[in-house]
Amino acid sequence: MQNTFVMLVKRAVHFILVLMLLSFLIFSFIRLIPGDPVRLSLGVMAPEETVQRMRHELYFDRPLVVQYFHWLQGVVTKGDFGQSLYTHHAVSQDIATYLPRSLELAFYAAILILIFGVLVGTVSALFKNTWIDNVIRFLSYLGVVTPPYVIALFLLILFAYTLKWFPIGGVPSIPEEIVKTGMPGLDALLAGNWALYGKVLKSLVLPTLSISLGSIAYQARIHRSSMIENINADYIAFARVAGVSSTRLVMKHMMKPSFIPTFTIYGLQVAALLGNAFLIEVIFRYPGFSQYSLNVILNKDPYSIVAVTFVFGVIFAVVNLLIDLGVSWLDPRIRLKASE
Amino acid sequence: MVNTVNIQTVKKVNPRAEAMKKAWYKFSRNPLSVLGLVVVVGVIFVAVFATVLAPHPEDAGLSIHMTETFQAPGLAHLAGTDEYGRDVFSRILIGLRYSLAIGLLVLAISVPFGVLMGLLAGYYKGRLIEAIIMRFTELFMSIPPLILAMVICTMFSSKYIFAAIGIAVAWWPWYTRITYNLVTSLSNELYIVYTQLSGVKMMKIIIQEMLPNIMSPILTKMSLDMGSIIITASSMSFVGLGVQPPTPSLGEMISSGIKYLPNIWWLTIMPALMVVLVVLGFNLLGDGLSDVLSVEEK
Repeated sequence: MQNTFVMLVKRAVHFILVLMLLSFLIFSFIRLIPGDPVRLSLGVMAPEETVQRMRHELYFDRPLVVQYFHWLQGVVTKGDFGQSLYTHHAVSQDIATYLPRSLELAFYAAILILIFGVLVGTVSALFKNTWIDNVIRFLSYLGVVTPPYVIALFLLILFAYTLKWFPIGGVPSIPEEIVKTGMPGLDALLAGNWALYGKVLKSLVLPTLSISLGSIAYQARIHRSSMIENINADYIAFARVAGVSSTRLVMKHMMKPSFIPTFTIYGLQVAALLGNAFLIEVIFRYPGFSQYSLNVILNKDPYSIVAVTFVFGVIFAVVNLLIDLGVSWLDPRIRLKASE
Repeated sequence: MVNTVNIQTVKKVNPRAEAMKKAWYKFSRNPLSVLGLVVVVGVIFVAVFATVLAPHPEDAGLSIHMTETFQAPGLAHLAGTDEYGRDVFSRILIGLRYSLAIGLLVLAISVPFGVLMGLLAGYYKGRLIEAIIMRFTELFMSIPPLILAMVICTMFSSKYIFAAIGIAVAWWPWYTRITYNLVTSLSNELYIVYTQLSGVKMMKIIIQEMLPNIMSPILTKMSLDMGSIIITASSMSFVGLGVQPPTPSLGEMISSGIKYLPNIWWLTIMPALMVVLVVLGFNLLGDGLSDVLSVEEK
């Protein structure tokens, strides 16, 4: 327990250093590159004094290091990530608006990936080299090589335009008074509005499937091969001889060790979900964090870009930490090594 | 009786050529790997001779045929025509050229740099250089490659070459990581330890003993990465970063076709299928290579 705590502290310190270096790097990129973001934001027609005043307010007329530490101070003391030159809001406010929407999308996708990835992988492994396995392997290979935005296009044409089962894009607007978390579905649930929740869910089906199908396919491949490795292990044969029932054999003795690689890959897939959602949010006109990131990047909005990469860095680090904790919980050998 | 040994002139065997032959035999036994190779060779051939093979090479630019707009795929136009009456099939072939070129360009920048960094980190193990390189590697790996590539590309210019540089900046850390891990694990192999004990310089060991050994996993990764890079590049051109219209690129064709869905489906689906085909080819080839090349390690 104490070791876990020491590891957590070490990781946190390391992580903070990495984040600082990351944000400094992005800042230097923005400062070093030609073109004035303030001028770009105000337009060519804006008078020179206005531009100069804004440059001064945003610390663009001071040395890079001064600007950086001013920004860092704001982040640490007030959670203030600066001003967006694109939406003209505080960046933290923008993140609070857009991030929850994407997180809800990622949440449903993460559930689908875990359930179906493991399920399909297990079936494939138990029926190894039969036609069931071959069909699954063929489909999962196709799923892995098809980019998410192509999957999105096919789903859009088939289920939205042709069969008209799901809307072609957007998300139902949530009345101002019930917005609590910023996640459309959760807000509807908290307000007890089941009809609205159903509507939200319906609009989330296609985007969720688009970002998760490829990951499900990949997850299934990983889980299949780690299951197969375990099926052939000596201790499985031994347990079988000792009379352990088939269900117990599969559920406990094969599943648990197979989960170690599965879990590691799963974590990485979940961490990548937001990054993969870019074009999906564009195609389904889902007003989430990925679409916001895309807009601020294309508009060279300096403070927002730093904040966006910051958020992605935090998510990546947190997920990696969770993976390590999960793996050490699953694998007694790693746990023992850590406590030595 | 005296044993007579029939001394024949021993045929000189080149071990490397022999290994290659064996590898090729194993590779050719797997139909999927061969399919991958065929697709990749075919795609490269088509891309190189795109202007010759395309039925309407002039449609790569700003040509307008008002009488032929939005024709469905058929014999006259294999993949239909777009809103300017341009032949989609021709545009896909020319767009393919840019997709492959960007993939090669990214690999040409990121692989040598990434491998060099990995070798340096492995060589200076336990020193400051290793720490710096590996921290930077972690740093770059903690941001989704597409974001990093887009940030860098927009900062400089949305031109084609900067899209490639942006992706390369996001890609090198993976090669540093893989090279570093391989060098680290090879360092513990007995033959490396003995060579080191016999007084051979570490730099020489890395170049003569280690580099040839890490080539095969890196080659495999390159083939698999081609697909991912092409997807990344097409995602960037989807939002207008990279090849600029009217020059065709697969991602831009797909994104500008979306507004005509669902009736005029060929504007999006045809280039999308080409992306899938190319990625499929490189993945099959990469898997085939990894099957063949990983034999020695086992």
